[in-house]
Amino acid sequence: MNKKVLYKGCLEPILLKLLHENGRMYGYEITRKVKELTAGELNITEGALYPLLHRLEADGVLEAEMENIGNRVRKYYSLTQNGRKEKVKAVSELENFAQTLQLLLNPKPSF
Amino acid sequence: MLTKGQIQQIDTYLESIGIEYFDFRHELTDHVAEELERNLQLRKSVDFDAAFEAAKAHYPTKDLIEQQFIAKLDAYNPLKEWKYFNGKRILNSIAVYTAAILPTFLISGKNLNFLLIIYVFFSVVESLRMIFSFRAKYKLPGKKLIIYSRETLLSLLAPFLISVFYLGKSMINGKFFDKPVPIIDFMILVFIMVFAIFALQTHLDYEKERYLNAKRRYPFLFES
Repeated sequence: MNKKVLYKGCLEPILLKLLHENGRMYGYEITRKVKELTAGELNITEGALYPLLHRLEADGVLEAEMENIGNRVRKYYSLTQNGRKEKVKAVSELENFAQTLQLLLNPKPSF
Repeated sequence: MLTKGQIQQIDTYLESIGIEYFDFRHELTDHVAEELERNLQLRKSVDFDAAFEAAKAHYPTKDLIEQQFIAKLDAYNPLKEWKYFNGKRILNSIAVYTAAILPTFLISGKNLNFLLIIYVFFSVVESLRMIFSFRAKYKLPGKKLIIYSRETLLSLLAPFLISVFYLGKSMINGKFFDKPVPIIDFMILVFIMVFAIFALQTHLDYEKERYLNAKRRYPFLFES
């Protein structure tokens, strides 16, 4: 199965966790960080990342601020108070999902 | 670090392929610029033009346009707009509607037809007045912004078009002045017009919120 398909549903908790740990981040930084943390295994494309960032911003999960960087404007994202709650929920759901997968893939022998 | 001219080159390219909204484009410009800076740092022998050409292939136009479309859909939240349809406004609209249909008990016959014409005329004039005074007060920034796009405004004019269509059709058929407009038609058309005026008010409140957000976020675009 395509790796992209498997990772698709995990993108939101990954993003929320990263922002929780790093405070504020911008789009390119997020793609680099994910690539770095997963040793290149997960490569988030801007096509998947920006629509998600914009949706989370519109939903009030993220807030954005602009900053002038040299000759251009950069948009930084950070979690809102609601976003911090969402992060806990999303990460916990992902962990449960991973545990369930473990049970399915490596079932404990029954005696 | 890329020069101002090189950043402009990226921005102009993105605009030329259809990325028309600044609030979406500046993020992509930053993304592409950062990637180019990294590539140029890693490969010192490559110049900006060659790196930029390679980057263009990495970002297919179709994908970028699709992203912009999604961003546009995400930027408009009808629930946020309807939060302005609060209790006070609902009560006001009920009061105005009641007052507007009261004449059906007092006058009858073809006089209702003339009253309907007055109502349609008044509601169209009032709506246009609201839209133009809003536009005069909250002037558009120099560049197009997704968070301030106004596609929904057209849908708000639909109720007035329905009323005008109803009247126009009856007038063209020559029946409008021959027989009185049915009371139920009168009440429905008045309801549509009253509802449309209040819906326009809520829409403009939401537009104001978006405008102020855009001004706070991109103050440099609003400087004259």
